[in-house]
Amino acid sequence: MRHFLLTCLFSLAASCLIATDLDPLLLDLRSDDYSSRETARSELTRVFAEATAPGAELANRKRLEEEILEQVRDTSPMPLPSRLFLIRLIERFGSPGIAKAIVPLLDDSEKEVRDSARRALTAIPGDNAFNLLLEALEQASSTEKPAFIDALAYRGDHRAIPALVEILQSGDPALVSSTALALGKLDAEDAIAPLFAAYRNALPEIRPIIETALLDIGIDGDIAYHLSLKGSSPAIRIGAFHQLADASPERAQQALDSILSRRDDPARALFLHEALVQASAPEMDAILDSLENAPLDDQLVILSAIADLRLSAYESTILNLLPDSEGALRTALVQTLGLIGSEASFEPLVSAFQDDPDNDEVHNALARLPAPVANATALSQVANSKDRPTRLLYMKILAIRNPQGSAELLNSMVRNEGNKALREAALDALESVGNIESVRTLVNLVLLDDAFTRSAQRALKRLSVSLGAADYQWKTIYLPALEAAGSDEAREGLILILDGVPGELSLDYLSSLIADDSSALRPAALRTLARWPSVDAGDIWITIASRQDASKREVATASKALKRILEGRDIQGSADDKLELAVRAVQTAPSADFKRDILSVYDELNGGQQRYIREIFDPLLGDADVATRVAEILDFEEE
Amino acid sequence: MQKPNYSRRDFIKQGAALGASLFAAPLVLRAETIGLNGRTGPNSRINLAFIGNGKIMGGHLSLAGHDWVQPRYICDVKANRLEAGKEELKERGFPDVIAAPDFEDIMADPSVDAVVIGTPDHWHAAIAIAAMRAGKDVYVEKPMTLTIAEGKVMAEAEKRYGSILQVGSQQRSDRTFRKAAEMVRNGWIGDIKEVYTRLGSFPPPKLEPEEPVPENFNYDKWLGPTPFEPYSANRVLGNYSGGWRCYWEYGSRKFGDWGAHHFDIIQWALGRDHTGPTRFVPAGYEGAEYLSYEYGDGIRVVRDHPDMNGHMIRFIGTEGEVFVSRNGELETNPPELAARPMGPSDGHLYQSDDHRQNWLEGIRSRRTTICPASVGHRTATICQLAAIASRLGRPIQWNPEIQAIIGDSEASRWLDRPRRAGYELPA
Repeated sequence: MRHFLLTCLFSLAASCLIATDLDPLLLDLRSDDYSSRETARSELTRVFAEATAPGAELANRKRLEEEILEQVRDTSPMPLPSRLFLIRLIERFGSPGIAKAIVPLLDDSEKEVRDSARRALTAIPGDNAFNLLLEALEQASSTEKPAFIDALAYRGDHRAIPALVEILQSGDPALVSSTALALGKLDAEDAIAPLFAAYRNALPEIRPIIETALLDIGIDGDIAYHLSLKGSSPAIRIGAFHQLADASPERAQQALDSILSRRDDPARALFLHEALVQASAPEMDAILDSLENAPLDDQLVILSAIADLRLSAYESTILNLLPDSEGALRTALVQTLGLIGSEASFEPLVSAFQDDPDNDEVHNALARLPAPVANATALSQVANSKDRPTRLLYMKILAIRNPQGSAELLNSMVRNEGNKALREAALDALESVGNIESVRTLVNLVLLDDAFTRSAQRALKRLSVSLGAADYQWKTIYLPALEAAGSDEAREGLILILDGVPGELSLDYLSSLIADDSSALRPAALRTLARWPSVDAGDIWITIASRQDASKREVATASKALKRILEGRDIQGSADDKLELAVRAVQTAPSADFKRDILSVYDELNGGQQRYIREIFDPLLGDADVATRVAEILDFEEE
Repeated sequence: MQKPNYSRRDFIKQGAALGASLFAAPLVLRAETIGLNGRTGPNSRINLAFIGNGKIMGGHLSLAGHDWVQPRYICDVKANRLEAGKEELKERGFPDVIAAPDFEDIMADPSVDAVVIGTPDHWHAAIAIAAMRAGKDVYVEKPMTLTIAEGKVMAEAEKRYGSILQVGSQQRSDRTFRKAAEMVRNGWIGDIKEVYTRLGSFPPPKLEPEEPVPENFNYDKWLGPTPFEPYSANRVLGNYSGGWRCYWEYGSRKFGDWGAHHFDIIQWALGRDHTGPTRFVPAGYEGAEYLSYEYGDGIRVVRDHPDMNGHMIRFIGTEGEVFVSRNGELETNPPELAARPMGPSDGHLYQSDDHRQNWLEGIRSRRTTICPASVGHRTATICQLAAIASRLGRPIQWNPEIQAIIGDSEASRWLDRPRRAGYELPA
């Protein structure tokens, strides 16, 4: 009881609040202040959303609707957009009881008011609105009728079908079109016969619409057969064929045979593809079994289906075709093997790789092939084969497939292998499949500063970039290694590739080296900083350029590096971060020339820059050195 | 030979989920054989039309330089954009491209094989459906549709007409997002419990005094199916920081802008491409700080949670986390996960490294794209349900199987919207 009373009190309070609040909102809709109008719109939407939420008080909703209606009908001036907005509120939230009150608006002198009222009736639930729309349809002019026809279709009420069928028979092309579409949307089974009759007499441009309607409703075997063969476009024909296959598999077979027997049928590929999806198993088998002897065009569609369906039973057929294949067929065969192949496909694909080592399709197929025995073979060949070319080949295969144990084997080879070619090949393979232990191994190799340092640097940088997690690599491997290194000479090798681990911590380290004029590692640090792949390096260059004792060369280098960051699409960092960096660079620039040089990257603005630049560059308008130039940059027209 | 055991259902299931793109290499084939919905283009090229020459179309016009593509039409309701598009295509070596102010002319031309739709969102569905019905393949910008009802019709049209459709959710064709999704799918971070994603915010929609409609701008058609509002330059502006994207009438604000990208990746990573969440709770409801939605198994997605480590999406699992952003940014917790290469036992997702190329390949081979209408519809559904919950200020219960709002008939009215006279949905 207590709960009930509290609920009543709360509802009453809410009602009073809403009732009290609505008047100023409605007043604001008439305001000359557009911001007030917008706020009023938002607030009214919120009030109505609350008033129509499940469990909300019906009386309150009714009162709100009446208030809105009163405003809409009010003859005193209200801006048209506000009036339309109020009708839209009714469209979104109006209850069945309000439908009748909308009807006078259908005759309003304003076209948009009339159409808004129609849309409101379209959306208001209940029989009232439906019947009023039917009446309005009868009374509407022929040019207005299509919109009312669509309104009835929108509601999905089958009681509209008889009236629509009557209009369908009018012969007026515009009305036939809109009525056919509406009947389709309504799934009007009773309308199939009149629709097909209209179809026979229709102008060519109306036919696709009636065909669409027939497909929407769902057609019988006869019509589906007819449209499969003679529909106005391949799209309609395929749509009809789908339904034919459901309604009459035998006739679908007939249609398919007829279409596939004609090489020049414009829809042949669609139907061949469809045959493999829709047809009975024997029919499908017949098509699939024709793979070896089919024309190339058909082979490609068949292979596509074999891949989609994962028909591994056809692996041997494909393997038979592979050796003598070329061009598009070979590509399709390789890709299909990658999706359905087994151990049996491994060696043929390895052969294909030897024939064409740069072929991406062969790489992808080899990478995806589920073949555990082949993995063991590859690992064993790399580890134990007495034949060097075989070991080199299978090292590349390991790099493509990355079976368990690859990284460990390759790490060991990088550390211990005596043969130069094999060791270099192991380094190459580690770039793709190396793990964190590989990073450690390569870091140690770089610090050794021996004949492999350069190769190891290249592999290490690429591997580190590929692995990501820059701060993690820095903390756990790079920094400890640098601290433990015996000399600056050894450290230099690693510092030169620190842009492979471009994190905050490694950048701090570089920054500290650069700040120390006496450091022997400063030149190496500057070289690495010039390659840094993110915007974060920018402030270090600003610091370098703005130092009192900066040399001309340093200033020029800083300017070049900053421009690289600001205009480089591959430099990580958001458009606004880069623009803000540009502002800082100009504000702390050592000379007016430096400022102009920095701003030269903004001759043309991309979309991201356009979005932020006016706000971010605003402070630069006060800089006498560049104010004119900045004004020019900001003088662009947004698309 | 042992005959395979298959069924149509298996095909649909697998076809929708399957991976590597077949026929990735250029093919030189007769157009009627390789698809093109039956039409033959000059020199077997794909005859393309670009519809809506706004900012987003700037990137798509590069298709004009593709060996497989023959640009045929540029279309826009703004005369200046139409001319700019024609000029750009001329500079790219195609002086004979037809400038069409009305997309209907393109639909009526049977020589056009495919269309790229870069209009504001409120026009996506009508143009795409008309194109598919006319037998043309479609690249449509994200979000695929503005209403859930439109999405259902588009997904049905794609299936019925055998259309090759690509939704412009191009993060699916980015290797970093794919890697993140594969990590999640392969269970590298255990069972997913929560996902955070950052969408940012737009300024509120702005009502402004009426301005004269620029000459040679068909503003009525620009408005199309949406309610009439007087013209103002800001309303029709196509920039990324405001303009039409701020108005619910033409877009789904940030839900349709960034949500269409990030919700899409979340769907993909969680393996929910053909289903969806079951409950949406708006920010502000019973003190909720952020909008969130939940899947039936309890996975919760939170919009704009601040704890994102600067990333766009954060997957939180029982055994770790994955953070992913554009520009190839991927981090994990524990960190060494990011450094773990995919192994042969890991499942691979559909691989596309170029979103537009994936569509062109699909046109030629009739293979499903990485983001067909059936998938784009489910992502757009999330954008729209999140928007409905936010606009109504109350939770929405959703049944993804029957695609219906449960227990709130008033909210169900927002699943579609009546269209202005003359701009009815063409199916």
